[in-house]
Amino acid sequence: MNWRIAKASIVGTGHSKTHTPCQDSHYVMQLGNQLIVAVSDGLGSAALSHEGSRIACSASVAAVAQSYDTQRDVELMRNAPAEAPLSPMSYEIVLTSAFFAARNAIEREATRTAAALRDYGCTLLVAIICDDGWHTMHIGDGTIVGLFADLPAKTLSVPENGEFINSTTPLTSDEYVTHMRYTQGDDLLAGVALLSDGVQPMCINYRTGAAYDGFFRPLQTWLAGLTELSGVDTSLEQFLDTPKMRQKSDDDMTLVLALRVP
Amino acid sequence: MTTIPDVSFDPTNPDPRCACILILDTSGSMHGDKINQLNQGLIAFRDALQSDSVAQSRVEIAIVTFGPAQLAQDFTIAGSFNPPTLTATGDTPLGAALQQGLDMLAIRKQLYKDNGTPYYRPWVFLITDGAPTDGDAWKSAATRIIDEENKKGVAFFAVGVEGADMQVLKQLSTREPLTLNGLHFREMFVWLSSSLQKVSQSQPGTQVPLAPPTWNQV
Repeated sequence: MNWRIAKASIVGTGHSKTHTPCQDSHYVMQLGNQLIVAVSDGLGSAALSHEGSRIACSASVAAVAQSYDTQRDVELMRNAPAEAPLSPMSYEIVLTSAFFAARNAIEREATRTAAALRDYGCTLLVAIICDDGWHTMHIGDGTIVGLFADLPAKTLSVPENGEFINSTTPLTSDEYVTHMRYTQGDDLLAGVALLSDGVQPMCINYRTGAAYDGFFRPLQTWLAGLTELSGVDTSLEQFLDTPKMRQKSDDDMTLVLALRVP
Repeated sequence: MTTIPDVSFDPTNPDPRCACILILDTSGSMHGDKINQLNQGLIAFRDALQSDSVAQSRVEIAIVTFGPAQLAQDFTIAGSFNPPTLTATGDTPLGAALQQGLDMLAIRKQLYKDNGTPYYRPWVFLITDGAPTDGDAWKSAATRIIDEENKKGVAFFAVGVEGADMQVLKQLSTREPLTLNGLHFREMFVWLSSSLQKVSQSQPGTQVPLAPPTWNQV
């Protein structure tokens, strides 16, 4: 089992106006049959949030990988079969630890640079897709969507917004632990999509959080049908940069698409 | 490299909204130059908002005038906002006007919620040149405003024109009232428009830093 991946983060037109960098980041890692994807959106109001989102993505995915190594070591010590899957409960712990690791990494960076923690404010979405299901951990807005061969796209983790559209709780908040949300399921996903809130107006229903299949299906068909994979990220970037997309959102946009290929 | 086929968008997602209610003193003391400058300020406000493609589809304006307290303009999207020409007459029922404005805002927010319309923190912008003539009615309005401000439910700005009771305005909000320098309504409304433009284009989590007003400096 392998994965076919297209990923892109582009700076919002609102940001280019004010000369702020793209504050979104993403990170993808394939571990055996599993796929681990992280997306993070740095808050517009936080001066170093582009650094915050980058650290959050890499530190969380690295921590997941580290947990697996540790678990394998434990299982080997117990003479368990090397390929035995992790129990469902342990994924929640793995992802919680990964979020703690991301938060710690940002705290260390803030200490090192003598900046305020809130300057690194960012959301974080992490999804683990395995052969027998999926697991997500999420703080803030952005959305995680499951893709199916014969069923419409389905939201796996909804955005969390405050009362107002320009408010959400970041990983750097004092209350971050109570805003972390874990979801899991045993659906056999054909793929997964992670997106930052800049892409939400087009494809995630504001009221219900439901994914709009008319948006995801053509992307899924496109990625599945490619015969040549070089330049796939550039194609996705160009898609996000089209006037049709820009008209709906002047925010940074991130989209990571991953499909299983037999 | 390949071109991605056309995708369609969720057609039910409305644009986000930023409601702004102007509560304007049109009592007898505003007669003459003051009301003329206020009217010209409103035109400048409209023009500034309509020069911004995002703001004109997101900012919604309503106007309550006093006295008597009445609706001069129900919520209208900035793109089709055409301010009424106000005339100065009557007394200064500040309390009643504030209550009416806050009621309208509560109804508007409920409408946003019912329709699934995302929205920004609404703004209330009060302009007066006098002292309230409806007794202590302004005190219960003040309690309501401060309560909303503490919940971050609204952003309230009070502007005193020459002759205003600044002591009353101070008690209306946690935010210091502003004094309009002379009759610089135009500058004030251009500032308000640019502040609303910034808010209506802000990203999640953003506390929008506003440009310091220049129209309140002597």
